[in-house]
Amino acid sequence: MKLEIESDALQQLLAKYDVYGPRYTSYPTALQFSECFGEQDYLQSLQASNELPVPKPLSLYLHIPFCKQLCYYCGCHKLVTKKTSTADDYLDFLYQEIALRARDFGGDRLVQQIHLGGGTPTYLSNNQIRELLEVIAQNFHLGLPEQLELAIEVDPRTVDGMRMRHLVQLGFNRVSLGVQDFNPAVQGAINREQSVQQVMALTDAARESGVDSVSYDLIYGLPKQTVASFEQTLKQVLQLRPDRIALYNYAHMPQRIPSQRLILQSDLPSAADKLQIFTAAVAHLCAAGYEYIGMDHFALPDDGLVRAMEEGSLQRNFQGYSTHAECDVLGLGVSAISRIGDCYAQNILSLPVYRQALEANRLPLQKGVKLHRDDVLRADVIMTIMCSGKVRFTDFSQQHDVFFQQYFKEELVALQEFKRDGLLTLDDQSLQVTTLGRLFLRNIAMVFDAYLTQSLLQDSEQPRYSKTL
Amino acid sequence: MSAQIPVASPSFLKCSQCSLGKLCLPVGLDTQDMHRLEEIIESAAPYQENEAVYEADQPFKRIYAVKSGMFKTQVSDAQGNEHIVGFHLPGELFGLDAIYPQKYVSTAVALGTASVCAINYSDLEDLSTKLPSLQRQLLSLMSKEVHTSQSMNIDQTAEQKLAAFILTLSSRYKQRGYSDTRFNLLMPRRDIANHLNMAPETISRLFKRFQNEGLIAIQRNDLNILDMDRLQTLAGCSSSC
Repeated sequence: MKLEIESDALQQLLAKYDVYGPRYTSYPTALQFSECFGEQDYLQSLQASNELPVPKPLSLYLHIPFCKQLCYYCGCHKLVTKKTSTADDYLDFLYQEIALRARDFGGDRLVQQIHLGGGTPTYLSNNQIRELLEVIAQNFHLGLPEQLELAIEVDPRTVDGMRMRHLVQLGFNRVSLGVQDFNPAVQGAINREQSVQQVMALTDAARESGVDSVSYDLIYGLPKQTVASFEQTLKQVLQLRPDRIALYNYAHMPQRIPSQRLILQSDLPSAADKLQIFTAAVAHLCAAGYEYIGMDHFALPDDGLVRAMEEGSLQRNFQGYSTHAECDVLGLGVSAISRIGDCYAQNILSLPVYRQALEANRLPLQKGVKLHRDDVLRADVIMTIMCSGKVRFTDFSQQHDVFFQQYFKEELVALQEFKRDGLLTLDDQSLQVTTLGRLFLRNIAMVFDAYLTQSLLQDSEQPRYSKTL
Repeated sequence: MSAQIPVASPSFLKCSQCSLGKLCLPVGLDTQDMHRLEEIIESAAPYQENEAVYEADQPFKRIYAVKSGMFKTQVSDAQGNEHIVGFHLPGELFGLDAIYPQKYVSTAVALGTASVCAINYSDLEDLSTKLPSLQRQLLSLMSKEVHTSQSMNIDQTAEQKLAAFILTLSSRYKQRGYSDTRFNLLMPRRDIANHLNMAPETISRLFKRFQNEGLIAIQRNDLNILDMDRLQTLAGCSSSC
């Protein structure tokens, strides 16, 4: 992707569309999840999904909530501890949950994707990870090896080359490394110190042992980051040339995330610098041959993510962009989120309460939301915008038995402004996000969000969403 | 657009205004006779999902015409296993098999929200002796029932059975003025499996196979027949099945 627009004009657009908004890892977003949603609602949606003529395959997400050390920026659900026995105790309950929840799925629902996330999945020992995979295999029906994606998030500080080779031997074919930033001052300010050499050794080991895809997580907007320092980080990243890059936006919300209070406001790059870091990074990555997937994701042309975008099987979920849109997602472990049939369901956030539920042999659900018809329609438009960027009106109308142009009449009027700004094309047949518009996917998707109210967006004292850019 | 189940005219109980009149009992009746039929039709509140209209062994009193949605009728064997004998679309009658034993032999259950016209059978009997057209249509509908249940008994492979099932639905939707190539499968998979006497896993495997072979496309419940000719060949039937 080439951003063929003068940087002044781009800066103006970026400033214009710089508002608070959801990241659309789900629609409705997690703010709409309610504790009124219970086990019965979940089971009802699950049952209906089992009863489809061709039930969807499954994607499993397993949450390992432990970290050895606190990274100040992180807003994930995690527990910082150095006691490894805590993990053994947790795994016992996780195994119980796996057995309990697997029972509800028939033998014709093959698992096609397993994702270990956290926290830090590599907090677990090799033996613990092997055991976890065995328990999954005992309880679910796994897809054919060629169709099974096994992914793990790796904290480079917990894994060396030998361990990486071991993980690949265990079957992991996709690894994502939490790189964030290579600059020592930035690493100091976020309490996460790791060298380029460590990351290089892991990348080499993963490739040599035949992993399909290596992905790096990077973050822009971190304390002590400058346009020049991030340029340097990117140069180092590009020498290692990961297959995928996720370039996340750091959302500074110290009111909601206590550990972020350890980050000095004065260390943060200015809004203008942050924008420049991002636009420079996009330009840099695209010039280096990466395809811009959308929002914060980039991938090399031969990576599965690019193929998925071309085939329309790209999905957006709680892990960001991913392949396997055809799957229902079952989230296992504390705080994990499932998307089964027409519902979202989130597990209990507190570890002790999670254990209590399983001790009582109950599903460890905390909250969720059942999608009503309007939600289903809007979710489809929003996810299509976030993923392929093109909505064909007749296809949509046929599939949902509505008249798109009638149903979304007001939204189509609101899109005119985006059209004038060159962010999308719009005619009688379809709406399509332009290359430039891919920088503003969240803003375009927000037009179709029925839950956004002005008060929510403008409440900058206590923002509930991060900035869109 | 995919086919929505047709809904009878809102001025319910008026056969003259019901879009299903050309399929249901009033076929061939003139306006005056139609009014006499309307007089014996009883109203009934819509049924909710899984609600029973009648249960097996209850004394026979009424037959039912589907107004909207879909119903299934099921019988229990001596071991208590339920078997679904039929799915009933708008404009179709059910409860006819109770006439001979004078009690319902099946249980009729709504699939989703659905509604009926209830017709007291002795009133209908009386009226049909006075209206030859009504008698003819009643017999014709009964004959159709017999025909359908016989064609189900032919020894077929699993593939043939499912292909024939899809084609039957397709032609019934067509009669109702809806697309015969794209419609929603409103019944859960286990009900299709039960009806065709197959395992639910076999049904999903066959749907997938049909999809891979380009016969159909299926997304959620939305079924799209892509190659009607090959589907008919597979079912081993002529276009009339």
